[in-house]
Amino acid sequence: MSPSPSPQAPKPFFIGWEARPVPAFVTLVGLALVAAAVTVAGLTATWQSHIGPATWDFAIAEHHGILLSHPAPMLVETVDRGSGAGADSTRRALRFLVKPDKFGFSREELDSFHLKPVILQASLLENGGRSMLEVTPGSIAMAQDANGSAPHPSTELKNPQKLTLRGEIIDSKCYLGAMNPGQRKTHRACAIHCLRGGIPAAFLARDRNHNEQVLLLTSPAGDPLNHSILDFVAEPVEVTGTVSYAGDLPVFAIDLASLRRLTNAMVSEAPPDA
Amino acid sequence: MSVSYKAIGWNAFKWRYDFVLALGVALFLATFVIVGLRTHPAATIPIQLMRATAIAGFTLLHFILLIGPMARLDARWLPLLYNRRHLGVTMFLLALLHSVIAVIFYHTGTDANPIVSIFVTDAGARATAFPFQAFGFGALLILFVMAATSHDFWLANLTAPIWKTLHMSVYVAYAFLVVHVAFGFLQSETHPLPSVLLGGGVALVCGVHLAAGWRQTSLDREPKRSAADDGFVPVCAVSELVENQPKGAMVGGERVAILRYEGNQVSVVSGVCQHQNGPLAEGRFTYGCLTCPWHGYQYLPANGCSPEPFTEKIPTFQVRVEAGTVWVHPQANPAGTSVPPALID
Ligand code: HEM
Ligand code: FES
Repeated sequence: MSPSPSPQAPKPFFIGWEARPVPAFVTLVGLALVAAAVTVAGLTATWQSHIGPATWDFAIAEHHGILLSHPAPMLVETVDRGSGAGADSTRRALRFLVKPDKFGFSREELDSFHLKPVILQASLLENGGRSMLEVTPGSIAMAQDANGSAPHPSTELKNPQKLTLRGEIIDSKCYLGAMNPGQRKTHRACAIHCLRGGIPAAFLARDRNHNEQVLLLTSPAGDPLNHSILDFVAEPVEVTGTVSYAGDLPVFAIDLASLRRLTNAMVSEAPPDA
Repeated sequence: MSVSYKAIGWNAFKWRYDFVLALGVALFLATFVIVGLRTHPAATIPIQLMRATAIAGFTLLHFILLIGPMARLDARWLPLLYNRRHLGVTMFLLALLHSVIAVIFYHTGTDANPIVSIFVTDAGARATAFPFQAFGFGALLILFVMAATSHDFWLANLTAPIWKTLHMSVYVAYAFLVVHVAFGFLQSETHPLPSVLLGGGVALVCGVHLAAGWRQTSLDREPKRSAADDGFVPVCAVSELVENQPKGAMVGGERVAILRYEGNQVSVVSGVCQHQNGPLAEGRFTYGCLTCPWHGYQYLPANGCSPEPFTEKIPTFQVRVEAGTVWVHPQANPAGTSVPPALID
């Protein structure tokens, strides 16, 4: 509180339009505020949660491989493992295929290419060993022989296992690199748009050690799930279904009736099922 | 006093004020984006910028809301109030940039109308699906109207009471933003820091307002005084008056400023500045006028009028001095009425 006025020495009185020196107190507050601004900025920037190691290389490149129209539109591409991988220096990468913006391919659009060698132009999104290609519109074409003698991929699902998992329904594109973070509440509207637009739905399973795993979501019949799950997107949920594998991709065929909302705290108590 | 609006438009103090403001904002944005990209190498610039502008704007809003009550509690804060509107406009621009990035990234690239999408896409009646973005939109609209009408041109044309009411809606915008952050960002983040910062910010804003309100309430308490036959009431002793430094009092339910000036003259005018209701009783008699402590508006003590060419007027009160006591008539005169000053013998 300021001292009470004394007739002997009147308090200085500040009038903004007077050309007077700025009072020292005001200069001090100004400097303190600038310091506070830098501190708040640094702290809040450092402690952002859920920014994953996702990347999106915007460069358009040519990709060859076998196209699958289901269980989700994908390209099975043979890629280099990089140096030091020994004799077997290549591996097969299963890459989701999507369109630009918040749109995906319908199964019907790609059925004529199913299990056929194709060539296409696309940019690459990657996160945690999973990848996706954003295909340049109209660039998919039949190829004579993609990847030389690569054996035919199979669409058969292996090792079915009934599981109850906790986590979150996400859209695969944002999680794999279109948006970072591409999960949770702030991203819910965006994820709903993506799923409505046909981008493959995925389940981000979380265990109690905060490990995350992405599974492709389908109906029990193996059809894509988009419109029927919109109300549960980006919320903490628990769901029961059958996990099986298409190559190294876990596919989670869920029973919609078993979808149950949880609180954020409950997700981190999840059994280490995933 | 300066002779026109334009002349008080810019001065050395405002330039310095704006320089520090620009420096603070630039350092905030740069620090956030650089630290964000260093600590999270896969983060993207647009999303970091969306967050940097949002948090910078929201932090600045807290400061804006604190200056008023801080200046009521401690007069040394008054100079910060002088140029507050530039803080407001800057805060709006930061919020606008945040909103535009959010809409482009989260609501375009679909078949839906992006503005409608803000309200309906993620809406659900539960915390994990509460439509927090609709509250951001509401706040942005309020901040826009305030920024657009911040110039004194609008103050004059809308009249002070309407303008003041309009600008009180900053508290509605603030409440909307607390909801926006609590049901958006805080639902996503798992680190406790954002919740701690928001809780601390809300507590600070509420606490300082309560303290200033409590002080104002005690100033606004009007003691029981018995009126003379002609209605005048005794308000204070002449010995309590310090030359050129007005004294505040409540008379007839109104705040008044009692001023002793030019040696032995005493005048009483309304204690409420016509500009933005600033506390004239905490002003000073300078340049022949009673000067408001907030933005320096001035009034002649004998008639409550601003000197030419200004046109602001405040109510005046009849006053007389008798046996060392100042007596004031509780009935205010219409703004700008001349009242001969009482003389102290
Ligand atoms: C059309 C209006 C608005 C929309 C659509 C909107 C949208 C959003 C979104 C989507 C987020 C979460 C972003 C994320 O972290 O992933 C967010 C966060 C936030 N918003 Fe807004 N917002 C709007 C207006 C405002 C306004 C006017 C302010 C005032 C400064 C504001 C302040 C914040 C703050 C402080 C956060 C938390 C930090 C952050 O996540 O960026 N927002 N907003
Ligand atoms: S309130 Fe602005 S000058 Fe008095």
